[in-house]
Amino acid sequence: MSHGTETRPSPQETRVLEQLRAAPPHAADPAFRARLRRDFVSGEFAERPLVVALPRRRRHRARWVVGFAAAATVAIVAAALNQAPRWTALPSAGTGTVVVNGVSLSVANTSELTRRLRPGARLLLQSSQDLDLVSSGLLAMQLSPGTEMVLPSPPGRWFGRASRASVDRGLLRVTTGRRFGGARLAIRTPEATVHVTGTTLAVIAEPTGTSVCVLEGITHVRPHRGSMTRVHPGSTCEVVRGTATSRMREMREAERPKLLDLRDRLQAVMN
Amino acid sequence: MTNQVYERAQEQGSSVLDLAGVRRRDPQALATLFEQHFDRVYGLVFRLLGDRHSAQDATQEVFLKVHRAAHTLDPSRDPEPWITTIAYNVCRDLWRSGAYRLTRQAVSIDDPEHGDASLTSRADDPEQALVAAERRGIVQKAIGALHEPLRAVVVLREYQGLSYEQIAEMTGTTPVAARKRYSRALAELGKLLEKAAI
Repeated sequence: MSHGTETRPSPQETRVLEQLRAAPPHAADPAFRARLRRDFVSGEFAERPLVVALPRRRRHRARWVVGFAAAATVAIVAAALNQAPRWTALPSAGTGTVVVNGVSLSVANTSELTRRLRPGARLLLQSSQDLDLVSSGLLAMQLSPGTEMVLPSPPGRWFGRASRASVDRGLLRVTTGRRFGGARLAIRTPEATVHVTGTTLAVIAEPTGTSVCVLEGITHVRPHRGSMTRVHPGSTCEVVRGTATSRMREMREAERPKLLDLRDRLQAVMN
Repeated sequence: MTNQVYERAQEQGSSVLDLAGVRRRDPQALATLFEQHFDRVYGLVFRLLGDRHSAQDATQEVFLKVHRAAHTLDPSRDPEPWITTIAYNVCRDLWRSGAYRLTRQAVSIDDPEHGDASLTSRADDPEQALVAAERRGIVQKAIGALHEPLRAVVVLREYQGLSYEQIAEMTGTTPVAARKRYSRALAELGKLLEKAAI
């Protein structure tokens, strides 16, 4: 075979080439040669050790294992990073107890209270003053004395951004933080479900029905057997127990200063 | 060997290879093909892979592929480039396999068990045979230490006599790149052989 476009080798290269050419050729094992010749002529090849194929399957398996491990690691890290800040109970001036999942705790014992505040926990406030709960940057809630509710999970950073809470009786004030954007919170009362997407509002569950007072932002209220109503800032939506309709009124004057105070105070704490 | 050379050899009767018979998988034609190409294939894969076991496996793989694809052989052309390409591809596939890398880590070509079977046999002068075996071992060790693309170029060119154009076609690169690789390979080999004081 020709060497095509050639260049003259340098003296160093010539020396290397001489050494390469001086090395005698390799001869195969005669037994191997004879066996392969026989196989080749007959077309019946003996079982081959196949150093190529067998480990390939192992390599593919290893790739799968590595792939799954990497995916699991990514999932674990993403889940950890997605977690929202936990609920924290702020010090309260009142005296009394909070019953958390049937366990009665003093409102003054905020560290123990914080430890027991888990999403889905049922709370009953039996205190002389309001109790503030905060999930940093996301949500702040204020329970009035006598309120019984189920605590929502704060929305995740990237996924799991819809959460649910319920207020069986009493008054719950809610304000959302700057990291709440795009998340949804549904608060269920005996008469209706309140859909929160970024607002400051009060949900009042009374024996006669549910009232939703909105200070800012838009809130949607759907009676359990009725249609969705849009509640604008400065309005109150009332759903009377046993009915499927809602009624709009001016915002309760007593609620306005309390919601303003909640927003200003807890927004500062949250953000 | 170019086609013209091959045709001339055919005309002169220096080769009695019946390629039409190979296409039909006629045993005699296959035997002739084997005899004509075995040493060259074995020498190529041995130099590319560096140990006897891998060379035997690869050689067997090459001839299996040749047998399977015999019906596609062009009777008007020299089969050597075709067989060389098959041999190179088998070695390249082996390089890419994880098992080969493990084997390379575990096997030393200094180990006579993995070296050439003929190193200590069939020589009239035992001393001469010993010197030749040592020289061959040192050169093979140096070639084996090269990065695979460099090793391929130097082996294909020096021991198979291929042009840069043919090497480029076979290895999927350009003739200029093949020539550069060849120069780099020789430079590295020079250092390695100097270190081994051959």
